[in-house]
Amino acid sequence: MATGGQNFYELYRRSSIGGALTDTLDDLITQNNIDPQLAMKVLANFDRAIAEVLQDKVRSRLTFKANLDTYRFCDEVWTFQLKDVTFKMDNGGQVVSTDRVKIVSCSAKPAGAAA
Amino acid sequence: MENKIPVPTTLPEVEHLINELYKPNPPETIAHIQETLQRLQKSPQGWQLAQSLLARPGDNIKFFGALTIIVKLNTERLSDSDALSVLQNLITWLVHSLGDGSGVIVIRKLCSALVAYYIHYSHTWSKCIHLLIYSLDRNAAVSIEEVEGSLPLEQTIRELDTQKFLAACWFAAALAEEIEKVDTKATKHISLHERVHDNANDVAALMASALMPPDGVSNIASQREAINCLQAWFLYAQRTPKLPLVRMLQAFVQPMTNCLLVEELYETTVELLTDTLNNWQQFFCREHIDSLYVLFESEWARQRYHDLVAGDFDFDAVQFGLFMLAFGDAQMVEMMDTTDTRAQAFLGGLAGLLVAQGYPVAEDKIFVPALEFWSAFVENLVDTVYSESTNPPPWDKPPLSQVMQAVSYSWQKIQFPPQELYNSWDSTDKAGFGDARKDVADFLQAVYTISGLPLISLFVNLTLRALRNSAWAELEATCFCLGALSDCVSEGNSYDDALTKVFGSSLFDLLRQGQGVIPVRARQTCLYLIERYSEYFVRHAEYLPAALNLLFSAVGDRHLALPSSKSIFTLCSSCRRLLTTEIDAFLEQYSSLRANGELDPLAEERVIGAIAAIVQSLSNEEHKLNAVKRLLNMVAVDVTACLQFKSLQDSALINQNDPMILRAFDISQGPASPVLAHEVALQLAIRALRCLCSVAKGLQAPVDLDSDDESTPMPISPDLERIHADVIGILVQLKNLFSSNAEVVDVICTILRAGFSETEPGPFVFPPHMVTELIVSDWQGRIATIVNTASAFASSLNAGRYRQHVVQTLGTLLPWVLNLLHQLPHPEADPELSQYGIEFAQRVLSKRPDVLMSQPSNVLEFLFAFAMKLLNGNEPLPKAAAAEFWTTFIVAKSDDPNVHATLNNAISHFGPLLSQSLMQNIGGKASRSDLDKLSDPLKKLIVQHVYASKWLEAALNDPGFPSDKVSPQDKALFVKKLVSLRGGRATNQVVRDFWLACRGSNFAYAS
Repeated sequence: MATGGQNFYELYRRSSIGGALTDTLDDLITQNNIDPQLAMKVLANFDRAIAEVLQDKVRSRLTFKANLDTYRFCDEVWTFQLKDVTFKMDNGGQVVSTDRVKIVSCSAKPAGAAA
Repeated sequence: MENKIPVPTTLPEVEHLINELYKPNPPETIAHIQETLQRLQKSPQGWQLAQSLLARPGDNIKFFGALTIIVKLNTERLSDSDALSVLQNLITWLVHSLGDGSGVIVIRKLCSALVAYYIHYSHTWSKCIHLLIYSLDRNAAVSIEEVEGSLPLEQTIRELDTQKFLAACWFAAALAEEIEKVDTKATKHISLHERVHDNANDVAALMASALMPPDGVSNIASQREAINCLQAWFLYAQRTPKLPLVRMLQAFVQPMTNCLLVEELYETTVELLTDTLNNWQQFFCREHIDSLYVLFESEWARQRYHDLVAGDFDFDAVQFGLFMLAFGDAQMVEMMDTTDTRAQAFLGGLAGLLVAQGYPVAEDKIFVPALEFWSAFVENLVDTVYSESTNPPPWDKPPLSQVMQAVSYSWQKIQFPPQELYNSWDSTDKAGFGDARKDVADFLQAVYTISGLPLISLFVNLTLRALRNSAWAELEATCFCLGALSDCVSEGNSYDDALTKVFGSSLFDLLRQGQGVIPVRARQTCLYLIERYSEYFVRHAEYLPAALNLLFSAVGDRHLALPSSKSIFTLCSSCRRLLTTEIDAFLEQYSSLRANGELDPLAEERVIGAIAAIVQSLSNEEHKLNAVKRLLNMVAVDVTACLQFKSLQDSALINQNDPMILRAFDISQGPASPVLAHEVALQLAIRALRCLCSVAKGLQAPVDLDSDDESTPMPISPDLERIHADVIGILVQLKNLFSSNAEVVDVICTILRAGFSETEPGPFVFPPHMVTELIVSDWQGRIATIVNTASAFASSLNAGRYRQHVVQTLGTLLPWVLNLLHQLPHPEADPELSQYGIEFAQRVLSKRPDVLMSQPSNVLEFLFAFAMKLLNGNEPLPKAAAAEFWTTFIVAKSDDPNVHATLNNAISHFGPLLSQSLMQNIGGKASRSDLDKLSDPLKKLIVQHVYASKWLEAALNDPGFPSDKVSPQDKALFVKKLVSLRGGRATNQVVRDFWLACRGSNFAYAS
C-alpha cells in the first residue's frame, strides 16, 4: 500500500538511463513486441523505482564548493545556478571542477502525493 | 511456434484442457493449452462455454468459466438487456457457488467478474453493493424495485451468514481496487466514479456490521476481511478524496484502533494505519490523533514498546515500532513544540527506539527506520527554525535536548561489536551496519546546522573520555562521528580550540604504540580523522610533525596502509608549503619504506604523490628538479627490473620468494608458486607507471592559473629537458613492450594528460613534439583512448604556453587520426574510435578551421562522408559526436578569406545532404534520445544559411522519407515553424513533436 496512492516525478526519464529505457521501449514497440500501454506502465514503474533506489540504495556522496550565481524557488522547485564548482568525491577524494552547474531540486514527495 | 493442440469440440475436451492447464506441465505445453483456450474464450461461443463451465463441478473449471466471463465483458459490447441477463447469471452463479461448496478462488473470481461488469455497465447496476447484499440474502438476483419495502440494509447485512458476508466484502474490496485503476480525470469515467462514490454508504454499512456490531458480538474472520476491504477503499479515497467518502472512512479510525488490541487482527490493522499515517496524513483529524495518543499511552502499547526495545524484533514487534514512527512523522510539527508535554513524551519514546537491544541491521531492525525519522525530523526542524515564514512557529526554542539525546543514542549504536561477533555476520549484515553508520553521519551533519559548536564539543569530550577509559569501541565511534562533521566545521578559534583538545591529547602517542594498545579498527578510524581535519593542521602546524610521524609509522602496517596513506596524501597536499623544508626527510622515509618491501601498491602511489605535492611547492627550481630526479630514480628501479624480466625467455619462471615478486603483486594476491617472468614484468610496469602517474598528478599546480595569462613563458632548463627525456623514455619503453595491455595504455595516457592543464613548465609538461611523437607511434591496443588523449592535447595547446606549436602539431595529429578512421571497414566498426576521431576533427574545426580545411581534398571528402555516415547510423555516441561536428561546421569561420570561401563552398555542397540526413532522422529514423543532439545542427543551419528552408523542404519531400504518417501540409508547417523560431530553444520541442507525428501515436506514451 505504501506506494499505492503516490505520484512520482517523471524528470528522471530525461536522464541517460531513462533515455536508454525509452529508446528500448520504442524499439520494442516498433518490432511489435509490446504495446504502448505496457511501455507506459514500464515507465511508470521506472519513475517509482528510480526515485526509491536513489533514495534508499545510493550510498555514494560528494561535497562541492561553488559561487552561487542565481537562485529561485518557483512552483515548489528550487533552481540554483553555480559558478566555478569543485566537486569532491567521497571515494578517494577525487576532485572534479567545472565552470557552471545548474541544480534543479524538487520536494521528495511530489505535490498531491499525500492529497 | 506452431500450436499442435487441436481446438476441442466438446465440453469434456475443454474440461480436460483446463485441468491440464493447472497441472505441472512443461512451459511450452502450458503455452499451447493457454493459446487454445484463449481462442475459445474469444470465439462467439465463449459466452455459452462460460455458462456451461460454471455449471460443472470442479473449482478449476468454474474458475475458468468466471475468467471467460471477464474476458468477454472486457472485449465485447452488449446491449443493456443482454448485459442485465449476464448480471443475473453472475449473481445466480455466485449464490450457487456459496452453497455448493465451491472454493474461495471461484467465489473471488465471480466477485471479480461482477466488478468487471460494473466497470462496463455501472448504469444498469448503480447501487451494486446494496443489490448484491439483498441478492445474497434472498439467494437470487434482485432488482431495485424488488427490494423496496424490504428490511433496512443494516438488518439484512446482519442476517447474512459469514460466507455471504465475506463474499460481499470481497466484491466491495475488488470494486475499490479495480476502480482505483480507472483514470479519474477522463471525462468518460466521471459518471462511473460518481456511482462508486454513491455506494460508499452501503460499503460503510457493510463494514460497520463487522467492526461496530450493534450487539457487540464480533466475528474475527468478518472483521479481518472488513479491514482488508477498508484498505482498498482507503487507497481509492486517497486518489479521489471526496468529502463524503473521506467522512465515511474517518468513522472507522476508532473501530480500527480497537482492532489493534485483538491479536488476530493486529497485523492487518497496524499495516493499514501505518500506511495511512505515512501517505495520507491529512486524513486524520484532531479526534483521531487524540485517540491514537491514548492508545500509545495505554498499557498495551507500553508492553509492546518495552518488548521491542528489549530486543523482540519479530514482525509484529517491528510493525509496532513502524506504527509509532509513522505517527511521529504525521505529527512532526507538534513534536517540535517543547511546550506540548504529550508530544514531547512521545518524541522521547521515538528517541528510545534508537537504543533497542542489539546491533543495528544484524540484530536491531528498528534502528534504521527510527534514524530515518530523526533525520527527517531534524531537517524539518532546520527548515522551520530558519524559514522566513510569515507564520512563526508557536514555540521559542526547538527540542534540542531530545535531538541531542537521539545523537547520543545513535553514537552508542554505531560502536562496532567485538571482532568475533562482527566476523560471524554475513556480508549483507556487515554492509547494512556500515550503511547505518553512514546514515548516522548524515544525521549528525543535519543536527550540526541547529547545534553548531556544542555538537563538536560533545564528541571532543567523548573522545577524551574514551581515551581516559581505554574504551576503544567508543573511541572508534567518536572519531567516526567527529570525522563526519569535518565538512561542516568552519574556521574559527572556538572550533580549533575544541579540536586541539583531541589532537593535542595522548591520542597520537597511544596510536603509535601499535595494535597491542588500540585495536586495528579504532586505529584506522583515528587515522582517517587526521585526513578529515587536514585544514586544521594547515592552521596548526605545531601538530603536523606528530601527525605525519604517526602516519608514516603506520603506513607499513598492511591493516593501516590505506587510511594512513590517504591521510598522508591529504595532509601533504594541504600543508605542502609548510613541509618544503622537510623534503629530504620525506624522500628518505619513502626510500626506507620501499626498502622494507611490503608497501601496499595503492599506499605507495599515495605516498609518492604526497611527496610530489610538496616538491611542487618548492620555490627553488634546482631543489625541485633534484627532488623529482630522486623520485624518478626510485621508480626507475622497478622499470629496470621490469625490462630484465621481460628480456627473459617466454617460458622463464620467477620464484615466488623473489623480492621483486613482492613489488609486482599485492600482498593479498601474492603467488604461491613460481610465476612467468613476463607476467612479473607486466605487473612491475604497471606499478612503475602508476607511481609515475601519481608523481605527475602531485606535481600539478593546486589552483588553476589564468589560462589567458600572456606573460613571457619561463625558459626550460637543460635539467628539465633531461627529465622530460627520461620520463618519455620510460613511457616509450614500456609502451613498446606492453601497449597491448589496457591498463598500461590508460595509465600512460593519464600521465600525458597530467601536464596538459599546466601553464608553467614542469617535469610532466612535455614539449609538444615529444607528446605528438608518442601519440602517433605504434600502439597494440586501446587506440581510441590514444585518440581521445590526442583530442585533449589539441585543446590544451590552444590555451597553453605552446600555442605557437598548434599548427605544426595538428598538422601531424590530424592526418594520423583521419588515417585511423580510414582504416575502419565501416564507420560503426569501432564506435569508440569513430566517436573520439570525429570529436578530434570537431575540435580542430572549432579552433583551427584553417588547419582542417588545408587537408587534401580527398581526405576532406572522406572526413565529411564519414561524419555523414555516422549521422545516418545507429550508434548513439558517434551519432551525437557527428551532430556536434556538423553544428561546428555550419558556424565555422576563418579570418583567412580563402579558408572562409572554402568553408562556404563546402556548406553549399553539404547543406542539402546534411538537411536530408537530419530530416530522415527527425522523420522517425533516430531514437528519441538523439533528438536534442540532432536539433543543434538544425538550429544552426536555419540561422546561418539562406537556402536552409529549401533544403529542408526538399529533404522532407524526398521519396526516401521514412514516414507516411505526415502529410505534405504537416511537413510544410514543420519547416515554417522551424524558420519562424530562428534557431530558438523551442525548436527542440517542435522537432520532438514532428518526430512523434512521423512515428505515430504508438510512441506518444512518453512525453
